[in-house]
Amino acid sequence: MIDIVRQKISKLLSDGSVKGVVALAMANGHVAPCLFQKEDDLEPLCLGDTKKPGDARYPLNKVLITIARQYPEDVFGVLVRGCDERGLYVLYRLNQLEPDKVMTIGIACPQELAKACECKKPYPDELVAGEKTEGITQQGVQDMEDMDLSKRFSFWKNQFSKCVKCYGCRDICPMCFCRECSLECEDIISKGELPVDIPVFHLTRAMHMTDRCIDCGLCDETCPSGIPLRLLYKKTSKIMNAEFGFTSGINKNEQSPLNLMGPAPEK
Amino acid sequence: MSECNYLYGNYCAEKRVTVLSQMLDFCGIEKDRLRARWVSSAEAPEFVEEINEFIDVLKPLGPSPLKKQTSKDVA
Ligand code: SF4
Ligand code: SF4
Repeated sequence: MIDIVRQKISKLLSDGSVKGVVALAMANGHVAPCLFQKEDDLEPLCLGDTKKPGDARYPLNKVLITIARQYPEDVFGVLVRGCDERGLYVLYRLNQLEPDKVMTIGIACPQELAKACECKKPYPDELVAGEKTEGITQQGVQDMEDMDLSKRFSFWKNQFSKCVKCYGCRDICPMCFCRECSLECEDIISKGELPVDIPVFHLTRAMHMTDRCIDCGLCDETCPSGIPLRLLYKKTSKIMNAEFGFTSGINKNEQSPLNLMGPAPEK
Repeated sequence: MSECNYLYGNYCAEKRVTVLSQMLDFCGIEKDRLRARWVSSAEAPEFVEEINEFIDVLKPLGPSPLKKQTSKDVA
């Protein structure tokens, strides 16, 4: 798979269709995001496979946004998995990236990674390398809904109490790009105090992810306290789907019902 | 609904309240603690009635178990 990806990147760079490609590199035994600009410099390119396939993932779109803000006229390539491509669709909708300034190099995730991520769509629409595998059915939200109210209360209270307010969940999230963050607004969230404001801190973030989260799972992976954050956002997604028939990142020209000026659209 | 001073503001709020109330429930918090109603600034009696009704719902629920201790409570 990596050879096909390398060929594709090399072609994009040599024919001048892109100024650079945001992908992953292996350097000094570590995987890190990297901007490749020369076709004869692709040796360190990797797909983030260390112990298991794709176990080192990064929010490459986030890196791309930073670069695109500096070089708005140029076209860049980016390595995308299914989740990353969903993220791009949302970022186009929110005017953070321009579709005609981005070229994707899409790779499908192997079944093992799809399982580990509980991913509903482990491949991008525009596939360059890899074989599409089946999406995984998710169970977590249902299990939580089946518990009674007081059980849910103590579950989340315990989870939220573990938060050390490191903001890692926000910082890693490819859908978090705001220059000013509500989680740092002292009218909502108290500063320098632990435990966090329960449930305000986590529900504020959840509400902001309502029509954005593309279920990549990076927040879950990042949280040093092991709070099942993604489960919260899976629930917001489920509500959005049930109430408004909306799933974020599923199609390229999507519109969020929350941003429509007016009542919720007919399903 | 279509008389909002901010044009579509209440529609936007309503959609978000729909989501938030279900999120509260998901986190084990009684969703009756959250309520959104539209009352114009010229409708004082309606406002009083809404609030009184809300109080009747809230009283039996009691203070939230998540209420933070303020410095006053501690002293
Ligand atoms: S799963 Fe977490 S990191 Fe990924 S988009 Fe959703 S909130 Fe952001
Ligand atoms: S990553 Fe975890 S500990 Fe850090 S702020 Fe987010 S929820 Fe809290």
